[in-house]
Amino acid sequence: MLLEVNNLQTYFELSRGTVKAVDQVSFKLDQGEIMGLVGESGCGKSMTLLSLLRLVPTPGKIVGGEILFEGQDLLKKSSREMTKMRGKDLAMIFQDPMTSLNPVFKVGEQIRESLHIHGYFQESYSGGSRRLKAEKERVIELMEEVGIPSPMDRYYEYPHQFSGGMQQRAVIAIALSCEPKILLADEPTTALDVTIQAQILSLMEKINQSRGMAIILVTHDLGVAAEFCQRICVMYAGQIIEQGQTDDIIEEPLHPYTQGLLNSIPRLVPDKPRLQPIRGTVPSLLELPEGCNFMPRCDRAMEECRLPQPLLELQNGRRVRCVLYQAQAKGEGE
Amino acid sequence: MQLARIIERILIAIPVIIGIGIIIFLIMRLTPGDPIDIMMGQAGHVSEREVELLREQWHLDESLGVQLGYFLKDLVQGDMGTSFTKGRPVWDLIKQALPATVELAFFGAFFALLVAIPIGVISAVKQNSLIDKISMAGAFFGICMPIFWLGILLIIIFSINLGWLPTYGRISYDVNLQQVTGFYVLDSIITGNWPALVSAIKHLIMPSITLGFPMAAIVARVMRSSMLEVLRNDYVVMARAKGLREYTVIVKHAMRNAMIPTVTVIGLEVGMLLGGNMIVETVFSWPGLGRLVVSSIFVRDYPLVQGVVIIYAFTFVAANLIVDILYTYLNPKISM
Repeated sequence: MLLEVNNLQTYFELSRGTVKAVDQVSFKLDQGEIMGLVGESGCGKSMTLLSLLRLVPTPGKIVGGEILFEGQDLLKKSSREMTKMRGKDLAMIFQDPMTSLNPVFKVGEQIRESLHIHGYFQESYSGGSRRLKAEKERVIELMEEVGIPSPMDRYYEYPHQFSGGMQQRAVIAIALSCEPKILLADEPTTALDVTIQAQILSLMEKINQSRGMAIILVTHDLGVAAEFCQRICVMYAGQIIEQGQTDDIIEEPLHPYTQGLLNSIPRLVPDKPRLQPIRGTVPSLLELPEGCNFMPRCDRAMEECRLPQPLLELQNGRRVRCVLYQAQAKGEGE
Repeated sequence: MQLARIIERILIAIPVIIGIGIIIFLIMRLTPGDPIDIMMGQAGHVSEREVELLREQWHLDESLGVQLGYFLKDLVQGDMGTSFTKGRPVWDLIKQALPATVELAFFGAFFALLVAIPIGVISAVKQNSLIDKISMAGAFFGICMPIFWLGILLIIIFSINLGWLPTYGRISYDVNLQQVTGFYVLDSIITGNWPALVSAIKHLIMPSITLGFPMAAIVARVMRSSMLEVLRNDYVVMARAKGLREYTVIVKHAMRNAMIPTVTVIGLEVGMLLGGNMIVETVFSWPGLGRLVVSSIFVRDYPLVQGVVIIYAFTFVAANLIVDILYTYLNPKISM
């Protein structure tokens, strides 16, 4: 097991109360696997990723759980050790490529910086200029790999001279530079045109296959997740509410929220209404109901929903946080 | 920035400086008070004839337009005229006083930036902490406080009560310094005259702090707010996610961006430094341009005031040009 997250809790202590941005999140990720983390905006997907890197913005804090990376708990590492792992073992790419590159540094230099700080070519070349040359060559290879045309010239360009798609490729090149074992992708295609989206996703797929790099893809687009991921976790209000193989979840969604999510994808089927929205809105994380977070919007809510809901373990590695499936559950899989 | 653009900017500056010359020429002459009257009042018994001769000599008997013509004609030839009261060419007087002013302004700005930039950065990184609150209160004080009051306060504490620092002048009388550049700190280093260096620095401390304090206050606030904005950006999170140490994230990735708005303010503040130096030079009896212009305003020494103001305008324009050049270096999105 490459990564195992158990009961991760990231809370924000605000003057108005505690926001449980990430609440009892547990999942596993195998070598070379692509897992989707799906949910509406504000459901805690991005915070989950940032928690994995221990980069939760203040006043947020990871208050509980464990993050086992190759068996070692990242939450127990010193901040120095953690700094060394970032970029090298776990790399992250962000939603908006336009703002994730530093506007005042050359793109090539930003990629090279990653190689440099993690000490690539440090041993082989003790001399500064030869090391620099080796690093530059590697950067140009990386830029080629992610599909940036004429990388020799583009190395010296600034981010604003790149298009959005090219910027995202550069960000991916930074993430790939140190050959991390896990790539955390936070809505990497949301800010891009649909055609570019497909290009970036296929690039990530290619990297996943050629390098065997595991990917956690955060997206609000169930369609993207269905196409790209082997497994999916659906998040709602800070919690994972359903988890399983992509095909199982798409064919037979269990949690009423997942069902609603699938129904709300517009379809071109003549007899059905084109859009079936989930009623109500996402609750404020400050005013969550007792028990099941989805209860106020759920058509099948009942008295038992007022109790805290555990993540139930079902057949075939599926898990669901819903009282409806208690009878089928093997046990509680927290 | 390309050389051609720089030259273009310098050429644009020429009409600006001439324009300022015309404005100060008119302001001086429209201000009540006549230089001859003031001078004669001080001299005592003078005949009508002598007064007329002086008026003729300085073209004060001509109309305003004609006088302006003389002034501009001389100015474009590089001649700022002769001081009424001192009887020497204005340029000579300026040349003599300029190093003192530049030295003071340099150390004032040096003090300001040395203090303000780290304070701005630390306050932003530790937003709402005690250190942030204390420094921002200090900055608020620095903006509100009248500069002469700070100067006098420092004199009372460090000269009168503690006796650590001298109250006036650039160097002690008992120190002999061979002048090379006119910058005393530099001269004493060049000539290896260590007692002079110590004396010059001692004399510089209080005037520099007084001059630099308001600038430090503003720069610290601007640095803090632009740093706060930069720190919210994705590329800062990205830099951390790459595995950079927090120090590198702040100093390399964030500060470089936060300096962009700060440099603009620094450029404008250099102008304020010039305004401030009139007060500081007066408080600390500093023999620079500021004191020269203040004393020449009192006696309506038109050519001298005009000359100094033109030098001020020139410095201001030059400072802004330097800022613009720095800007293109700091911000790759701007190419001039």
